[in-house]
Amino acid sequence: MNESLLAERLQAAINARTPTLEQVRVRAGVIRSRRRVRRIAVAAIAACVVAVAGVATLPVLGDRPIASADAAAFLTRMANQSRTVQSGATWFIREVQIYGDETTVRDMWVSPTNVRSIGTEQGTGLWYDLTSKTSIFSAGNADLSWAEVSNLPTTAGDLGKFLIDHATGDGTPEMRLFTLAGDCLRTLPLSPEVTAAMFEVLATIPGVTVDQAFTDVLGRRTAAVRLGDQGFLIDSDSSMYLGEYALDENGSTGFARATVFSGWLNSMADTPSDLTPLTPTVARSTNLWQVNVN
Amino acid sequence: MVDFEAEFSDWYAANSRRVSSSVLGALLDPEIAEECTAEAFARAWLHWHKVRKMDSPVGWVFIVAVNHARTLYRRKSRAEQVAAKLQPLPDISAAEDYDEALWHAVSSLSPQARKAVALRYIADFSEAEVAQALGVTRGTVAQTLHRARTQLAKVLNSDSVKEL
Repeated sequence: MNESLLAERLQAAINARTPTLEQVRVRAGVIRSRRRVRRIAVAAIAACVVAVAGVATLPVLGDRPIASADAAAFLTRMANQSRTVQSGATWFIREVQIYGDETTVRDMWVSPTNVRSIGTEQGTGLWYDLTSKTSIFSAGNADLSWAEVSNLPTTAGDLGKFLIDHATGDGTPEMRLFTLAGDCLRTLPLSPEVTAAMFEVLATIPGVTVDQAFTDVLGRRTAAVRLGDQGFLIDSDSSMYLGEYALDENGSTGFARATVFSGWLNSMADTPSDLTPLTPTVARSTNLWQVNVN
Repeated sequence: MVDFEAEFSDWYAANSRRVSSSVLGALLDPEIAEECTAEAFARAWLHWHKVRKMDSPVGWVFIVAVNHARTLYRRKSRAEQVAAKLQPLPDISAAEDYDEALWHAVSSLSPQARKAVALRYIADFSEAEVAQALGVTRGTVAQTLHRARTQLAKVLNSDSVKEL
């Protein structure tokens, strides 16, 4: 029997109705909801088991295995270390972003107790009134107001629930949670207690690993906490957040941010002046957060 | 960073039709085939970061769809299954290009042979790709397809055999 004629005849005879892309996306949303309901049910059962057996576990992702043993131990150590960090009146980050040939530096201050403002450049940046309800903090796909950021739960269980509720977008639930938690560490002025809880939540995400000898784009030796092709970097001595990266299709670094400083200061006047050899000359960008390096 | 959404849209536009037809060719039930194809593509979208790296994303979607059909059939009561088997195929027979003889011939094949035929002759897979998708050796695929073609020739009327 002639194969090509058979193929031709079959293809002509069998014309199936093809769902539209929109129908596929709607259905994906239904599947996601279905899984979420299942997860909640599993978490409820797990909570009952915990209540009966008295086993202390974090029911953040239900019945699945947690991060690798190494990663869990490392993240637990970082959580404990974070609790010993002093808080302050002003939170400051300076980060260098590298994407292809483009390098930018971003400075951000948050001074909730003194000036209640957030800006890109000390004294001259754009400022927000933190008392407004506007969601001015972005992490993952979530936009959060200062009220939400300053009232984040300080226990891993409650923080995990909050993050799961806000971990929207594409990808697996684990990846969405990992991305959101990493972004929170990077960009939000978290209290030492919330930072500690964030590390504990990360320790419950299945598939998370740690590489404690990772060299970042500034040549620093860091610890890379990884999930899939994404990761963020931590200073294992101080538990300070040191940056993030994403691998491209070829397995090389397609995107990276290096955080030069991230933490609490007593006041804006205490902003360190010798953080990096890079001296950004500020060119106002349409993007609020970026200060170009010439 | 890869724009997953755009990549998936392009891939969907290029492959959705042949996957839908292959699933229908394997299941011979338009309603179930449509349902299962939509489910499989939705899962592909949810797991696109993994599926995109597979050797054959089309093969993966096909198998997910066929497996989902199995689950659906399992859920149906026995009476419904019997009734479903007795029902004609209205959507297909209503089509202008309905090839009753061929349709009847394909429905006489075993489920595994139908899957192989659908992937090879509707989805345009090579024998090696069919083998990979179905998890069997290439020799098994070649043998299955040979038997399927022989059986199709027997079932089809003499005119159809000559045409083929």
